[in-house]
Amino acid sequence: MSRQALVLGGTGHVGGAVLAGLARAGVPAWFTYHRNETRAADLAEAGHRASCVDLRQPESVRGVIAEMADAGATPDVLIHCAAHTDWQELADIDVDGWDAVHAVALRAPFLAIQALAPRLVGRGGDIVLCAGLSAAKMVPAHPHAAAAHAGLAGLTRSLARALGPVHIRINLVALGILDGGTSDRIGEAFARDHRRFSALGRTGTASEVAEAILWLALANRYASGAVIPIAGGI
Amino acid sequence: MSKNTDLDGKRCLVTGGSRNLGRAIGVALARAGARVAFTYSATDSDADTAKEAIAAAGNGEVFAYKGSVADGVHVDATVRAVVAAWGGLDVLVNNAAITQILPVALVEESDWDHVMAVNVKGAYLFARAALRPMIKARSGHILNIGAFGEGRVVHAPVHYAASKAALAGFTDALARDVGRYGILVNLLSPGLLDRGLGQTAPTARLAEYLEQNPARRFGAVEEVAEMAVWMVSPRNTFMTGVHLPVDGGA
Repeated sequence: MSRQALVLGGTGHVGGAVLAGLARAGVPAWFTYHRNETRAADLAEAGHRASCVDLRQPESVRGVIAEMADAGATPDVLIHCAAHTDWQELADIDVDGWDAVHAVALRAPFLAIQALAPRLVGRGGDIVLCAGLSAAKMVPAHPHAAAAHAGLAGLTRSLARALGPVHIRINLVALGILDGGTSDRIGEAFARDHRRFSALGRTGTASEVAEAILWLALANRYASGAVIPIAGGI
Repeated sequence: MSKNTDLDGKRCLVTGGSRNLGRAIGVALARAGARVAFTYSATDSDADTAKEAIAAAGNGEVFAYKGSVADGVHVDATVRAVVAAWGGLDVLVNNAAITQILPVALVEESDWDHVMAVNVKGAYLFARAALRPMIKARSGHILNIGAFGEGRVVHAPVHYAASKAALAGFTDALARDVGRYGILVNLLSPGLLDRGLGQTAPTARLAEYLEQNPARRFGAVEEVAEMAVWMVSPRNTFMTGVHLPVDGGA
């Protein structure tokens, strides 16, 4: 059966690179976006199908899976690279802020997988989740984002065990500091430390991490439940 | 499987390449367009079979070198020969390893030393030799092959487990040390596979693995070899110092 992808957060820095890679691989893709209409329109013009979805809303997340199924395009590749990046420091995080970060980073992929998994029984599939490097290493991170990303690591391990028998693989990439995207919101001091302390001595690019994500999503056959730092050696 | 050219012309050396996973990695590298050399320590007929398989998968000459990875003279001579033939070395896969299924009380000091010599010292010797041409070229990939269950409490011979843990530490430090030269170093830890330990481990252990493994099967050496090829390919430019389990989620 030919492959069909869904990218949560397609207008983001990494999501855009992933969509470009899927296009090169000839895999049709839907993607979600929330606010960036212009970027979404550009991606739709490139042949991807766009769905405006607020990933903080559970019914919206479930809705995109149902919409794809109704269109005969149930995805067997799910890539989650959406983030709610209204990050604050510890003293400034209120409950709404905590909930929003967790809803997008952690609850949305959980709900999408919960809706999707029963539809993949007998077909199998591949899920790749994206997190910050704090999911795998002790590095500076905003506390609500770090907690959500650690939750993604737990979700990955749990679902690898639960979904392995129905041939669904799930892996998590823990991304280091990149040139652009949400990394710009983390602060120059983090980026400077990344360059100073990483093995490769540089920050990464969206296309570099997209290569790893796409390999896991399209070619991997026996790795599942892995938390994989793609970070230049931190 | 269609041939791809991710590693077109890359010069690759696989230790322990005559059988099982090592042979599969050689074949997968050749299929990806690489030139492949491998080492082996024991059976010439296995090496001949591997040479034929690798040559059939690729389109170039294949070199096989017989010797122990723990023998520094063999190691230096092998790397010198590859560099002399091909002008450099782009990829080293430290795959050679041995194990003995023994309870700790029966592991003799000589057993411990032998396992450490092959599984750890061999990787160090080959990496040291391979780094010379890689540093000169300011690029390269070194991939160490780890073991199932890394970092977890699983049944394993103690000297084998200790050697693979040492290899993981070696990977981390080496990645940090040579990253500045554009050399990436990673560790791939396979689960039990359809060849090698997946055939020779005690029956009860194999049954336990299948029962507990989410994929409910052994991995195929080809599946792990494909992951190895991606990790040492030019498509991997930002993943280094990583321990990657390929074990079905076990």
